[in-house]
Amino acid sequence: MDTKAWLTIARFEWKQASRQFWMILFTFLLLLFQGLFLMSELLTAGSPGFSGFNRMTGQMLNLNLILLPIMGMLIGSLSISGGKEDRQWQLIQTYPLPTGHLILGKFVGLSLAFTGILAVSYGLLGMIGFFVLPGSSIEKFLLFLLGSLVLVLIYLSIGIWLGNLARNRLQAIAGSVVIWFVSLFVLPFAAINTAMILPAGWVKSFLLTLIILNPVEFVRVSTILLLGNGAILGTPYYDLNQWFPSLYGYMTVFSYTLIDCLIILWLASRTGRRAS
Amino acid sequence: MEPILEVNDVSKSIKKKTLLSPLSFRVYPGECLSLCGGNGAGKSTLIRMISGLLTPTTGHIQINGKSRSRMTPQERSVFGYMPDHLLFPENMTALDILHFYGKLKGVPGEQVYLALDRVGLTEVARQRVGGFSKGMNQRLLFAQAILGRPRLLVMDEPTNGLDPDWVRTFENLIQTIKNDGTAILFSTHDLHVVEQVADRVIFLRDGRTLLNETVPHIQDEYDSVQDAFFSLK
Repeated sequence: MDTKAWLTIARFEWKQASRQFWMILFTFLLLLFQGLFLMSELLTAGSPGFSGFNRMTGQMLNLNLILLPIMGMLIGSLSISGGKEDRQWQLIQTYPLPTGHLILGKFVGLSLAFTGILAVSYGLLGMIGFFVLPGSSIEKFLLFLLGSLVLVLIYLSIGIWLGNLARNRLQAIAGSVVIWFVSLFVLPFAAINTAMILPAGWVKSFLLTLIILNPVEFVRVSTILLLGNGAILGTPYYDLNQWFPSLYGYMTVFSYTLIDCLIILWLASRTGRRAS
Repeated sequence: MEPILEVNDVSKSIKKKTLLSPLSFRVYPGECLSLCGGNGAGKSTLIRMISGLLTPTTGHIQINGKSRSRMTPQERSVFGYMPDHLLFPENMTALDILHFYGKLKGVPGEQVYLALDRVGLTEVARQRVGGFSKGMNQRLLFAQAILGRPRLLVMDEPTNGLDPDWVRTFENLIQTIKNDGTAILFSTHDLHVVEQVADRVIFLRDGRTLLNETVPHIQDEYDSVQDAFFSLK
């Protein structure tokens, strides 16, 4: 058995993804929408550019929070459920390698593909931004990119898990849309309404728990905090705002992403369903 | 001689429906066993259980003396599998695909080229498989199964979609692989192929075994495998 089978799978997955139309489409989509926000800033005199959390970065962050989770989940889940329908997944399961290698290989290969998408689309936008918006900071821009990568990695691993649970493409798509809807709309809505009826002393812990449980919320809050504009989040986040915009904040983001991905991928390798 | 494949009282039922009644047989090195029967006879179910893709309801399967359900990834490398139907990623070339499966089996690169040559795909090795015909796809699938010279080769309807020339080449390849000591089990509707390459045949109908006999014995008793199939039907 090849002890680096996951690496072989990752390379194959990356090669496959790099020849797929969806990569070009997603790069174009990100470029188009984020480019529109950039354009609107160009028309505004004295725009601050990538200098912190402002109207432009706020809009771009919101778009990321909407687009990237669904993109990650769809690609992750369809990669496995599609393989089940095409029977490639069944064939590879007869090979001398543990399921963990399959899952890890898929994840690494697709993560590389997504990193490529983000690098190309944001790289181009960044270059344009720095030329035309003089107040922009490279550090803040990279931070923005980091948030995007965190979103992609976590939701890609969720997608891979979903794909392994689904019997076919349709189930995978349905599962991805449900989790996307819950992450983006149900949980924040529930958070706001529940926080309003909770005793004041509980609100902070409640909101922190929800942030940890919902990667979309985690990325939203951590990006705002790291951009140095934590004050806009309000009093429950006062303590966080004291220590997060520092190396500890980056370490927290890194650990959160690593732990989330590892747990989800481990679950994915343990809970698979065969194709119908 | 120790059998490579041992199937003991294996059956499969799903939601009270019996897909395969208890069945036992052994396949020895260099032996070729064919599973024949109409649609829904239980051939693919049995092959999927041997491949580890389905769990038997009763009984147990041993490959190379090891229980199928407890085989380590290392022990699984004795096994080559060709499913009845599979769509390879259409934007990859035949060479990409075979290199990938070869690496997973720990097979050196030259064996990949040899496998492509054996199935006559050398000239189109660098073409994307999206443009392949069903027969070419089937040959690539066969090349994948024989990579790494498995001790047990299991195939589900391997001659589906092959033209008569390639059916003959397939028969010759099976003879060569048998002579190398590989145990072969395959399902088919093509009784002519059975007559040419199989040493033993199991006829299945509605999940039940109608006959489990050597080809020479069947030929003695019924004239041909085809006659046996229709008289038992």
